[in-house]
Amino acid sequence: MRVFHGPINVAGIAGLLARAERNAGIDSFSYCLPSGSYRYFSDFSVKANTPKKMELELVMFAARQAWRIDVFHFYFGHSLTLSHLADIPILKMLGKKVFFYFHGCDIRDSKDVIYRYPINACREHWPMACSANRKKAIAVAGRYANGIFVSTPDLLEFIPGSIWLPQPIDLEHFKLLRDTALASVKKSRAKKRNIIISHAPSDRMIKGTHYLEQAVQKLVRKGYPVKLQLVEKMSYEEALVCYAKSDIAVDQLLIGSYGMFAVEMMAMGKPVICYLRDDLVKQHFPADLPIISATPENIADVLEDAIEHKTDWPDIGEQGIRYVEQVHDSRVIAAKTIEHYYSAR
Amino acid sequence: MRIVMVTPDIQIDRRILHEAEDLFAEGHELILLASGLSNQPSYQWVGNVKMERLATDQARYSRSENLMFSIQGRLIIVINRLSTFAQRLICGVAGLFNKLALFMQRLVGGVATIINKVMTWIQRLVGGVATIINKVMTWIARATQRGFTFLAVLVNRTTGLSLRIIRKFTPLPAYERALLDRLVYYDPDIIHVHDLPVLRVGVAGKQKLRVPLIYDAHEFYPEIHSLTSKQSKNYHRLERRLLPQCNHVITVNGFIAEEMARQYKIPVPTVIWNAILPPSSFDPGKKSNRIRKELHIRADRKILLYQGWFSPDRGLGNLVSAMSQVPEDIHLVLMGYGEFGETLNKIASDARISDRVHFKKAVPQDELLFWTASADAGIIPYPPLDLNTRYCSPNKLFEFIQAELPIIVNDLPFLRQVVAGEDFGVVMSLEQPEDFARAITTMFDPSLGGPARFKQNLRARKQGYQWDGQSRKLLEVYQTVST
Repeated sequence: MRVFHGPINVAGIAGLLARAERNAGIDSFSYCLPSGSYRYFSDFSVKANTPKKMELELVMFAARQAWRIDVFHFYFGHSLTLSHLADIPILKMLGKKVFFYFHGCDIRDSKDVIYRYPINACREHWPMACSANRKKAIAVAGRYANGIFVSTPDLLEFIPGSIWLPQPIDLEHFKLLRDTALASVKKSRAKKRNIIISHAPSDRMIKGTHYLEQAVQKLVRKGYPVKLQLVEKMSYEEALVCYAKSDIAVDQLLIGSYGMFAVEMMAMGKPVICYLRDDLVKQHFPADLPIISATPENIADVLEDAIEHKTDWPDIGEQGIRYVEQVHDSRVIAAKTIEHYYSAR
Repeated sequence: MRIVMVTPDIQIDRRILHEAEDLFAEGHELILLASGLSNQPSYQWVGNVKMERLATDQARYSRSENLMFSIQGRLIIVINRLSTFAQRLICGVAGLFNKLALFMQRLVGGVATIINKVMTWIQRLVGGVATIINKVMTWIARATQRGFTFLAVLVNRTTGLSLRIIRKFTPLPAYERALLDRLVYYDPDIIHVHDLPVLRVGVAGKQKLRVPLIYDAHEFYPEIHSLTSKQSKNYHRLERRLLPQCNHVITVNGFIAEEMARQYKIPVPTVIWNAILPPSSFDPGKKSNRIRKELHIRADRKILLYQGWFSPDRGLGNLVSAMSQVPEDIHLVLMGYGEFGETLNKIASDARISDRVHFKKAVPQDELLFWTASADAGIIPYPPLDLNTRYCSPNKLFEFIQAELPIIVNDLPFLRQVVAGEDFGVVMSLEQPEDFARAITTMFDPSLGGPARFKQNLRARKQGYQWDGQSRKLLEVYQTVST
């Protein structure tokens, strides 16, 4: 079985999942557009540098290679014709299996979210982050896809029949990076006095960064030795060093479900704070999910409480590592996707 | 609900923001799609309203238009190159003939001593032939040049005509198409269009998204005097064609509403006045001296205020001229913006009344009432240039009322209805400077009680001219449309 992953490498997942499936004995490969400053791993990269040329390169690739591929696994509502999705009916006609993996703004209905959930990123995010082809992607996936995955359970409601496929992390590779990162900060760690709170706002408005900034200022005014470290605009390797330097992590405060940053911080053994929506906690997340929930209103109090109970952090960190091994290990996720590839009709 | 408002405004009308904030307070999400300049930010928050500005250079051309542009461009390049090549070729050939002729003449010159006479004749013949060849080549060069010029013009005209034909069959011009793209992207539950220039976008959006459309006519647009008669006719036709597509029509006063109903045979539109919401910190009872302080006007002098755009079409020239005919204790303050201010200044200095005619730059909207309230009376001198100004209900009317400022107005239907109907001031036909002088003198006449005689009515009835009452009407419209 030959599996294609791409062309959008959201949080490096396309590259990572292709590698994990390959390790599991499947002929998978990733062929992705460049991922900007993050420089996520991908087996092959699109060389073109303008959108039109990129599209042409992908179409040429499809013309040359499509007949050799059995499964197409697309990300973020983009296919080989990018947001147009014009190739999907053709791939289906050729008898190929097509899977979609959605990650958030590519299918989230901002109107619905604003209306239904009092805490949400869509109300505050301006300009709107919704993908322009959102409705089309949902329609095309609903009609043609053999399987639809979503990265977080809050997205399940936006596309009927979708499956929650937790964000994968390559723990073996990550351990290496983590050890290197931890070793590089060992010395500075011994000296430091401040508690470093790390936060990786790929998009400040979506993550509710300004609420966190206000909370940290409040804690500083109260005399807590805290420092906020915003991890942004740097390569993944550099970001990991920053993660390693930190003591506690705060993921998003407006979405209701944890993201890739939370997974990586749990894998680092750091306690993680994040806004978890009550209904998702009840229906989808395990009871022992090692994430501390906080809202934009109480983030300062939650942080203060966490700092007061600093002695619990190693335990929470250990639980986080175990949770990631059970739920997010790319080997676990790859086994799931492979099962779906085979069982899909 | 998500409500998307569309406006051609660059300077956003206060009415739009009032409406948007009221709808936000009702729990709706408000997105305002406005026109912009390329140096303005594309996205910003205005209070609780999310605003996107689409600069006019962000037009989206259709594929066929782009194809025509590209064909035209390429053909012109090809013609230019062919023309250059042909010119070079002709020059080359002509040069060759010239050289050959020169060579022949020299050759003949060398042998001239032997057979002088014969050769002179041959020499002349060769010279003559060379001249003819030169003339022929010049003619060919000119003809080729004209041919290529004709070809280029032909290409330009053909593509121009094709573009016109394409646009005839394209429902929206390029800029409106760009607006429609954004409107569709926002996927509203209700579209609220402000003014006729963007109504086509609203109707196209309604048809595409199948959502209700509210049309808010701030003006009787086709009647604006600055339009040519062809433009006016086209706008009338457009409004007549599009109005039946609107789920609800709103306008600014009863006269325009009646006129729209009469001309377009539609139900009478809902009237929502351009009323204002005074800032909570504003108290007109508290005496303010802002204008006097800033412009150094003595306390015993009376201040007549005009505020807004200094437009040549607003009767301001006559107003300034009239100041030489009114008692000397009355000062005119023109507070606003516009190039016509310089002309007004000149009129004042020519009439030697510069010491009684003052200019003040426009102030921020949130400070405006505090300045307005520091005058003694206000004036709205608009002449009835067209049906739109005849039925106007300007913002400044509502500002003067909220500032409890007695008002002099030209005798226009809505202004008369409010000012004479409520006894808020003096209504007179303002055509000549003498009319203005009479109105101003009447307003400030101490024997009649001066401007103070209107204050009590203003204080008692201003509440009816605040935005609150209009807001209720707007919410009712939304209630009707959404059910």
